[in-house]
Amino acid sequence: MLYAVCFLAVIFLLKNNHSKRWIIIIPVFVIVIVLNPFFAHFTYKRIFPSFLEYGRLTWVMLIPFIIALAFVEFKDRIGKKGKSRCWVVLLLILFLFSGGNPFFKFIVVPQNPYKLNCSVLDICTELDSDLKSSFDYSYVHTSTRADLSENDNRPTILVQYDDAQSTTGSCLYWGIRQYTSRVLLANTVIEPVDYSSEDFILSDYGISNYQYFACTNDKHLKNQALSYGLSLLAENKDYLLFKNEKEVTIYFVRHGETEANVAELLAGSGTDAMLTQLGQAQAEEAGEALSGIEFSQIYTSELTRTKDTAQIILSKNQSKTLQKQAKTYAKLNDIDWGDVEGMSISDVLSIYPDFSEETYIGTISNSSFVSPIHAESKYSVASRMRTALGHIAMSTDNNGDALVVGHSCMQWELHYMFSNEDIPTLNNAYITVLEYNRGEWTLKCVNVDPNQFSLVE
Amino acid sequence: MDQILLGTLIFFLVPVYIKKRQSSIALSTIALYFVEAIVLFFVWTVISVFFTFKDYPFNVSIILYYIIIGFGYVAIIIYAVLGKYHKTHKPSSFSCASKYLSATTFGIICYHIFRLTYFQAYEYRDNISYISAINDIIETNRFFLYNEISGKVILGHTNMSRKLALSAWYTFEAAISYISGLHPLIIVNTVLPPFIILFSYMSYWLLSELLFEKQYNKRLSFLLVIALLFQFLTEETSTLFLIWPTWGKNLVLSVLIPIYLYFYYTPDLKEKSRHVILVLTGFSACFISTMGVVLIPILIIGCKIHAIIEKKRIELKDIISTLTLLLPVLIYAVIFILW
Repeated sequence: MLYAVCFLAVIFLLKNNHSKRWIIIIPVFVIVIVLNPFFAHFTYKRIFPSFLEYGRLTWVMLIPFIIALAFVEFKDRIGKKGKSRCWVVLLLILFLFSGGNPFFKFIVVPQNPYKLNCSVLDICTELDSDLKSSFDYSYVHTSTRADLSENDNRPTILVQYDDAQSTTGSCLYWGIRQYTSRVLLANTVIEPVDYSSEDFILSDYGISNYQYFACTNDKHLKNQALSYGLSLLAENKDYLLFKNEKEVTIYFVRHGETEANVAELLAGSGTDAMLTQLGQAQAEEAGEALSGIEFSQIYTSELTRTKDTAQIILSKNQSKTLQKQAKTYAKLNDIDWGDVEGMSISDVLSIYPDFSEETYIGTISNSSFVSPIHAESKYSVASRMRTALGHIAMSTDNNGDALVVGHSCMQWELHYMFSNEDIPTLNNAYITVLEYNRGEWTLKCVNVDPNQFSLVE
Repeated sequence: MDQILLGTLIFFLVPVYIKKRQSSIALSTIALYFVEAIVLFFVWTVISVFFTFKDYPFNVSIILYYIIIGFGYVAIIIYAVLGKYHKTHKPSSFSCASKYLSATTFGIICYHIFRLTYFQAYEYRDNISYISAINDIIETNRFFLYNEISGKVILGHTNMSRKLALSAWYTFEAAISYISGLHPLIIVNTVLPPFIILFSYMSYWLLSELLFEKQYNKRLSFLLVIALLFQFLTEETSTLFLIWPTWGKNLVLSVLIPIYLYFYYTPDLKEKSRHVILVLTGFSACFISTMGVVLIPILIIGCKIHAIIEKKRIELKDIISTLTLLLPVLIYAVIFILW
């Protein structure tokens, strides 16, 4: 209303002055009409909804011009006494409105010409310095875009989001993003209530997949990251920066043959089948093949068949591994087959003639799949396996070896990780070797017969 | 950094020298600054859009830009030196303006510039992605290699955001950062805001010349009220946005629209020169922000209504001049569609 009044006053004042300069506000007048939110609402809003932002911004940013023009012309006509009153009224109006000025809301004294928080800048400069010294960026300048998209091997950094840290909760992430493009960023929300709890596991947040990790300076986060063997690159009162330089080899062995395998049952995490005699013999063969390797970590699922297989493997081990205990890790458990858990395949087919993995447990990429037989989805199992491998890599000593005894469902995660490789069904007690190097996985060999393993090694 | 200082000196001194040698140039020195800035940006726009389309290296575009504007400045200086010396005495009546009003206005403007430059708020979402894009251009030496939000590689120019690829303003900021050696964060957060705010006030000062002619007290009052309203009204009406130079629409609204009006109505320009400058200004507006593509046609239509009101008829030359002035928008639309 004030805008319209001033506008009309301007036209009146200038026109009555017999001055042609009132013509100059005609284009402004047209803009005001065309971009007026009320006019826009009844005309082009439905066709160009995003246009309204232009309208709003233009319309309101012309307000100072119109008001200033009206003020000057009005002041000129009211005589000397009125002039000082005009200024007083204007200043009063400004005083009334200035409470809404956002400048007063988030005014921050700058700490540097970058206008970044000093702690953020400290992390950014350390990260950039390390990237420059350890990463060859010349390929970006020479490769074609297609080459780069297929093999975008920029190092990656996981940055912790913590809404408590800034007005938007993102100043560390966006500070790094604005400061350097050498690294590919990903963020993860780890709230204080999470990392302060006793059962907080940092590796559950996917840290194993990244070459760098930046987070709040909290003792829980710091202790866990250091226990994983991450190098502390930078530390200040607010943030920490870690570098992942871990190299680990994981020897994955599927459990030996079980009674359920012989009976062709769908035996998942709900069926605690025991090893057959052949299964035990298979485990011994695997143990012989791996006897010379000193394992720094041993993991099994919670099911007896994997624990027994691991025990047999370790009994053959000639190194100091004998003194170590296998740890059970629930994320390595087999798939839960839900309504068909423990049923034979023929029984399942008689009830569900169209039974297939895709129909009843989904695909690796389908995160929203709901199994009609209340089974665990393939996506969920693969994600679980991914987290498990990451955790195992992080908890194994640097340059160490880990033994993992698990189930055939690991095959799905291997398919996901190595989509260009031909991953066969994992046979009982066959060996798969994965190498983890600074956040990246390579498949050294897959599903190798223990009797042939020495040749592969 | 010394290149930027040298460039800034050349930018501000060349128009002063030309105006001194050729007083017959009707445009004021301040108006010449705008003409100079618009021409510089136009040259960069052509280079930037072409290089983005062809995926040529960024540093080569800088070298080409140096060559072109170098030749341009040399030619202008030679023209000024060798051209016939014109000196016409134009008495300035600014001396009769109120000293207190001048000091207050100048003080408020300086305070505005200082406050918004020094105390800039740290984070603004749009600013973050645009600064990322500028940083990527400099670090990768390629135009828009990475998506500014996801950081993933953009496969070809057709996969680029057209709005971003056709906005030469971000690449211009990248060029300033590259030439100065300063990080884009410093350029955007600290170096550019005072210049942009200053240019905004300069554009309104020129506009006041059309409104109040030689009544300097009125012009100063107008500018003072503008400065007070800019600083102390609510978020929607303040020029808070000016502190984020990556917002192209901000530049269009606060600098280019007023200066477009000035160039359209100033009696100091001949028709041909006026058309050239308006077309170049239109180009700048369109290729700084898509808001310019929207506003320039509206502005031209508004300006042409005046001609119709005066003559009470539509002439062919009005239609031709309208189409000429709409050329930047048409060219932008064609490139946008064919991109």
